[in-house]
Amino acid sequence: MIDAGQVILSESVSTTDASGDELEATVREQARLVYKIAYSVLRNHHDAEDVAQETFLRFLRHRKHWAEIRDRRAWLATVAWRVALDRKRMPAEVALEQAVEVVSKLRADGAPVDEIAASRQMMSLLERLVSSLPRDLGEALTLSATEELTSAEISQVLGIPEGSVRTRLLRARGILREKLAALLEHKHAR
Amino acid sequence: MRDDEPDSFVDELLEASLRQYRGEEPRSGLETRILAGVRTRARVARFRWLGWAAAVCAGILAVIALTLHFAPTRFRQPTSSASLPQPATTRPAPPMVSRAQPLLSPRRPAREVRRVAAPPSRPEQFPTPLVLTEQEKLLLTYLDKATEPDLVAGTSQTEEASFSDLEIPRIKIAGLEIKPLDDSQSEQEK
Repeated sequence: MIDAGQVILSESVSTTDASGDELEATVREQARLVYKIAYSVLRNHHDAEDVAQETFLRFLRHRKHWAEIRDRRAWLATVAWRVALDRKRMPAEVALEQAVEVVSKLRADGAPVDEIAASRQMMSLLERLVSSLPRDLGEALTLSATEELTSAEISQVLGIPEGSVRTRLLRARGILREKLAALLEHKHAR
Repeated sequence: MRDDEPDSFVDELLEASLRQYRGEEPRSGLETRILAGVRTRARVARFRWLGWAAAVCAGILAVIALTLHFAPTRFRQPTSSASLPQPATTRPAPPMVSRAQPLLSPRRPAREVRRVAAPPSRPEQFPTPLVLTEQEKLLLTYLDKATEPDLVAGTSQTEEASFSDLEIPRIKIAGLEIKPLDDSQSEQEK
């Protein structure tokens, strides 16, 4: 069964050449991955879609070398990652004290962990903590958080061995946990 | 109690927050929007390329036009001086295509050599004078030798001779004769 999106895609691509067909197939397969990687860096729907378009435009411009690309998925992930990093702006300054206070209050009120985690303040707090990580650790954690890439693919994107990816992820999580615990316990001790 | 197990709470909160951190799913129609955006950008890029090409062509045409505009002014000076009245016996100088080149220093660029060699090929007088006939040559010789009184005397003698040679027949004028009107004819008319 063909859904509406597929019909629209087929109609729009029918007038293009063979590269257009291949582009359409690639977009269908990898659009979600590219978008998620862009979103993990930029934290914004509009910017993430813009980066996704830019990534596939570069892919189209690179069509003479498509045959040379061994792993198209990793290639697209790498391009999306670099384009997103180029567009990344400094995260907005979060009022750390205020965020910690709201999270502590939710905890004291007995709110479920998932509810606390979904709160805007907790997201802001986590973004602040991730951005405070060393760059290499933050990049590995950001790519891992998309849950779209395996360790091997993350290693291709970052250009490091797969073992280093695992090590960095462990270290990043450890640092995040320590910082979060320190913030919450400091607030709780008051 | 959560207060007794702060480590487990932080671990759970961190895991839940990282799950939230991966971001929301992309909005529906992502592939369609990406393809449309890629095509639009590719079209704009193509037009931008055409614009650059047009600008380069316009620049080349401008250079050619300027070259053509200034090049004739160098050659007009010899042409204008040649347009002054010249003696009829002078003939246009032969073209100096091959002879002019050795006079130039070898360091001069080839373009300069071509510019110097080209103008002498043009005739110095336009229209090119024809070869004089025998009668014209005799007339010029006579004019060179004869003084002004000779010319005046020759002219008056020629006029007198021409008048004396003329034979004008005498004009005969018949006498006027007026006949009286006939009465019979006048009566019939009545």
